[in-house]
Amino acid sequence: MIWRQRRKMRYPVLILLIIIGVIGGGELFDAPSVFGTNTAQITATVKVSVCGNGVKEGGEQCDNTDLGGSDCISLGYNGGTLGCNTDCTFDTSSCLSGGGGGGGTYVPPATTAQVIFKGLAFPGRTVTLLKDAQVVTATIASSDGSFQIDLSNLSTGTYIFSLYSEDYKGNRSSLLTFPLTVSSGTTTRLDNIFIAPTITTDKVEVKKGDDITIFGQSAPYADVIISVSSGENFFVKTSSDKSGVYVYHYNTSFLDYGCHYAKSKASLEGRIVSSYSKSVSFKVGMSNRSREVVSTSVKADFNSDNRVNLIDFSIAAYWYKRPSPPSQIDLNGDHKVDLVDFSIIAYYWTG
Amino acid sequence: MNFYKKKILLVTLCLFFLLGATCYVEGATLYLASEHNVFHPGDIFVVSVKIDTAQGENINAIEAYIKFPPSLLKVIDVSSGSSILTSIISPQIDKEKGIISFAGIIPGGYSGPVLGDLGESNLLEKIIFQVRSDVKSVNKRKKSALVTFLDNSQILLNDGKGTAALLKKKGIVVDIIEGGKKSLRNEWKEELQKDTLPPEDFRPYITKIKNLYYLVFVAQDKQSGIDYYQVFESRRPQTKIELSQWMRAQSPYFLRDQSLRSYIYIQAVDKAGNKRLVTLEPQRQGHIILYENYIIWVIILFGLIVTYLSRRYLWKRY
Repeated sequence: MIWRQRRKMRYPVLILLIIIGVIGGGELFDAPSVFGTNTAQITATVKVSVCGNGVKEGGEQCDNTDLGGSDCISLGYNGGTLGCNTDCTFDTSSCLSGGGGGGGTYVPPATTAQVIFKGLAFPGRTVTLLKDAQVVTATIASSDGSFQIDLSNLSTGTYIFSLYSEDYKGNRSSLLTFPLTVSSGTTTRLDNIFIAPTITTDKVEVKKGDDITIFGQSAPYADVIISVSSGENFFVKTSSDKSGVYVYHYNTSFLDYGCHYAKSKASLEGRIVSSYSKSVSFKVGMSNRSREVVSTSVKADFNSDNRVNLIDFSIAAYWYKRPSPPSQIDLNGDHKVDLVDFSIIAYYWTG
Repeated sequence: MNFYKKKILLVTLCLFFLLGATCYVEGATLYLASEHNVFHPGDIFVVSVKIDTAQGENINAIEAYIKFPPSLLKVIDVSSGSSILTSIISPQIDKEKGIISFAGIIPGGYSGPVLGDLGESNLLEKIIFQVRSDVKSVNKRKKSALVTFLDNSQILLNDGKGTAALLKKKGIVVDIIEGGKKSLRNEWKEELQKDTLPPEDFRPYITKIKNLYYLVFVAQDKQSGIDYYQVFESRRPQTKIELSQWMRAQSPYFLRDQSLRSYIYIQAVDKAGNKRLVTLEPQRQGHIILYENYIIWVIILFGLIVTYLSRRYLWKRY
């Protein structure tokens, strides 16, 4: 009798096990075949709105027939029919104000797509836009760090857009990349772009117990979180000044001897958060050694033009899986040029 | 009591299993997608190679090896139109072994589509298969073709070190059946017919590799993808280039004129046959190029004639 009861009790448990087994087993079937030891993570708060898709989104007054509940009267006119322009702004030409309305202007439908990039970078510094890994245009961020780039004449398709900026020392931020599919006749807005801060240190080696100065640039009055890692992560918080510059004197008493990495990310009023900056390395040792000249030369710049772009990519592609590549092309020193070297090139890419 | 202990043990096992399964979900997924999955002998269909990244994961390099049964399917083309990859080399096809491979990078990294982007922003390549016409089903039963990723496929993280990312792979199965069909399906032809736009404008560069000059270039075509490039070098500017003068080229392209005194014409041709021509002016100007210019010769000749005539006229007069 007891055995029967137990048997009865086992069924729901077995069914539960089978269900979990199916779910889990499905995942196990496709279990990861390669295990990494590290993860590259990105945090972004970018928002996309597409003008022309018939849905009113952030940054748009209207979209096609979606007027967001507005009409001529709500806009202060006496009546009439509210329309929507192809750039997703209100067309009030048929609204009536007092003596009557006038004729509207016909705006022909666009045959190409447009993308508007809007966000924050470093005040007064250049913001460069890449399309499919090549530089297409640049602009200067205003004194409050805001910038806007309008890119038009795009055909329907998927593009990889990337943005970066250079700080007051000439250091480049990491690339912020957006894959985006655009359609002819639409305007896509990328809002809330926040370029990652730059980061460097005053020393390449610091005597244990002394301060190392970690500094860089972000948007004005941003909260900057600096992460110092060497197995264990230490986080400190500081703020950027009016010109976006932040400085932190980090005491190394708690750090072990050896190599450490620092990176930073910024947020503005908790509203938008940047991704992490590139990492800068320093050593905690027995003496102080300054980072004399801020070097703008980067890894993977094979032709020494201070850029990592298609030329460097092609030089590496020439040596792809060929024997005896030059040591400067073999970036990870494994005596071959393979996908790992190209991954390093992609990381340091400037366009 | 013993019963309850067992129950607790079972529940614990369940939770452990569930948590374990959840852990395995992390990592990027390479997968294949096709609009249809039932075809007839002779049909041509498109298989898209796509990627999904885990939340917060940032990857930048992909190498994929895809296996297909060569006795059932053959690859007739591979297209990079609207791919998010910058290809390292052209896709390789081993028809006998039934393996397609490609490799590329995403400069700056890729973390999946941006919030609000409703497009297909995770496409890596499109493979165009044709079901072999000689495929015969046994007793009118369907045959299944498994297209899947090989274990040497890899994805690397955008961490500056080329660390391998966690990777999951999902292939597809297409069924092949005989009879019950009037006309052949050709999905690729339909896509090519829609492509009326030329490849996008592009900028070639000249660089030195092992002390020799090479031309480097890459063009994008968002519809059918780039089919091939062709290059023509000439000491004189050309208004028309004959078909026979073009040389098929791949970047990096070894320049024949190492003195860099030639005009270089580069043409990108997409899979639908649309063309984009880009011209590079001679990188070096000098006396050699001046001597080769017809106008210079005409001026010199004109000068000589004038001198000759004036001297002859003056001699006669004085």
